[in-house]
Amino acid sequence: MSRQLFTAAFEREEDLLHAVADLRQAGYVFKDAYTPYPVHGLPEAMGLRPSRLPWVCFLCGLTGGIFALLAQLYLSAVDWPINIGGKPWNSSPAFIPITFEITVLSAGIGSLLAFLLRYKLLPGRQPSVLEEGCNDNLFVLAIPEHNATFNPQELKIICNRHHAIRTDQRIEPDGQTKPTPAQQRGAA
Amino acid sequence: MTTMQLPTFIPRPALLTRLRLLIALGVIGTLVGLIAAPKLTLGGLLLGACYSLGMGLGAMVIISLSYITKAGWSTALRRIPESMAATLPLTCLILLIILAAGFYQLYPWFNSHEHGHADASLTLWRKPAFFLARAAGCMIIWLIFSFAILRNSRKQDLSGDLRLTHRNVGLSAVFLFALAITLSLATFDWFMSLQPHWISTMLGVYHFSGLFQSAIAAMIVITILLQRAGLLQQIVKPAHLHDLGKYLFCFTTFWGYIWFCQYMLIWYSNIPEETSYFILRHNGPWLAVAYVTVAMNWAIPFFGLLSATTKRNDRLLFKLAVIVLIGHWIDLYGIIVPSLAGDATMIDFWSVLPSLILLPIFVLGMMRALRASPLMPARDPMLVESLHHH
Repeated sequence: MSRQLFTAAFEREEDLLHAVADLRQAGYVFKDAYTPYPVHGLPEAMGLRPSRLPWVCFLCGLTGGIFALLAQLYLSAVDWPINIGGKPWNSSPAFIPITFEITVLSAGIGSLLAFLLRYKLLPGRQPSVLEEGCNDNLFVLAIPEHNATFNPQELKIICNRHHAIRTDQRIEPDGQTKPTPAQQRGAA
Repeated sequence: MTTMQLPTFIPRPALLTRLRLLIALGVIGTLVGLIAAPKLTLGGLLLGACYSLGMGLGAMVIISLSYITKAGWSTALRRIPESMAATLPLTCLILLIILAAGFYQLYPWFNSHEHGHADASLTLWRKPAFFLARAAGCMIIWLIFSFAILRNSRKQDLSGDLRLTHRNVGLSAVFLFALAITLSLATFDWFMSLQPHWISTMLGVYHFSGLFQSAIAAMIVITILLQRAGLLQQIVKPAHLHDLGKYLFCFTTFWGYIWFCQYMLIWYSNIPEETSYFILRHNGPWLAVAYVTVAMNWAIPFFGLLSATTKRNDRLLFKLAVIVLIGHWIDLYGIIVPSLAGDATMIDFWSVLPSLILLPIFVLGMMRALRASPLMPARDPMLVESLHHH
């Protein structure tokens, strides 16, 4: 099944935010927004559910921390006890710095991997540029056809009212019809 | 912006009465304490005065940091740390009087010669007059900077002069350097020498981490109380609370990090002149104080503030900030009182009473300062950014 996709490019952050507010009031949902830097308030304005990435980060950190602590306890106190400076085998204060480092490392790597996997940003992926300039200085909004109320003419009017420098309409090729995670969350 | 109605803070009379009642109770308790247990009561006076002083200095750090980083989000709330810093002259004076009055009881090292040698510089360093001169010197430096920065901020209310902001940026940078040195010296003099044979070069930064964390917590508490009183309705949004929560979370982590650094270095090297501090504090009744300190200053606020939901929820954030404020008091208690009480069989209560005088005095002074100035730096160039913060 192929669907229509409407894109609009803006030059200023405020224009994008105002257009998003108006479009949402008109009942449109968003595929995604491509911005040169994180725009504060944009996810809320687009009605996206909060990201679940913090949970991945927390759980990875927790797992890493518990693993590091238990591994050191097992290695230094059970499996191969070594007397270091007359300290007890179970010298937990000495384990804390390593536990801390591994917590941070696993939380960081875990969230990065979760992000890459979820958005399928893996090596060998074909680059797909939605709109020229969307990875440069432009703020690009992508709105998919989602139901019968989808009206490209109305979309164009609303976006032009907010100084869109370019609007475009296309048929999404078959390979890209799967909704993005952001879109799934937005639709929920 | 100039047309906006600036709210002013007027404390409720009932609150003032209650605070004055607390002071009266504290005075009676302290007077009894000075007869029954003079050393511990003087320690309690030191504790209460240093807690209030820490609030003022921590507030100065908040102001200075937001100037030198040109932070936009905190500008609308700057009057709150400013009102805390405005109590510095009063708390410095009180602390200086307590140090002078309690010197011979609190610091018995002034005439000790047990090492058999008394070189001239050490004798001079131990002279009570020089001890007080050092304290006064540190205080004068803090007061000069706080006067100058606060005066520039108030002047800008009238003139809107951009140069005042630039001047405060410069003053803030110098203040932070000066504070790093003077606060370390003051901490070594006032806290470390309570246990004269103990040394820890980290105690200064440990004290700093605690006072900065508690000043952020106090700023959160005051912001939320003012918001509930309807004074900051137009100004404080969940985004501001979120940022204050992140600030507190950050320096809660910092406190935990510094606490552990000091502990681990001492535990690892295991030298008698360093371990004496923790041996005293991790035995008998003081062990409970040590656990409560780490729980209230690190464990509870750290895990509580991990989620963005708590940081944006004013009721939860308020509770966590109050826990940190109480925790910092217990932290100072754990630094000061065990050194004076030694191997006690139970937690000492004489040293608690003076805080009933000194903390309400701080609150009264802060409310007075808050009342005397508009609640927002109305003509600060960063204010618009702060109000539109999201």
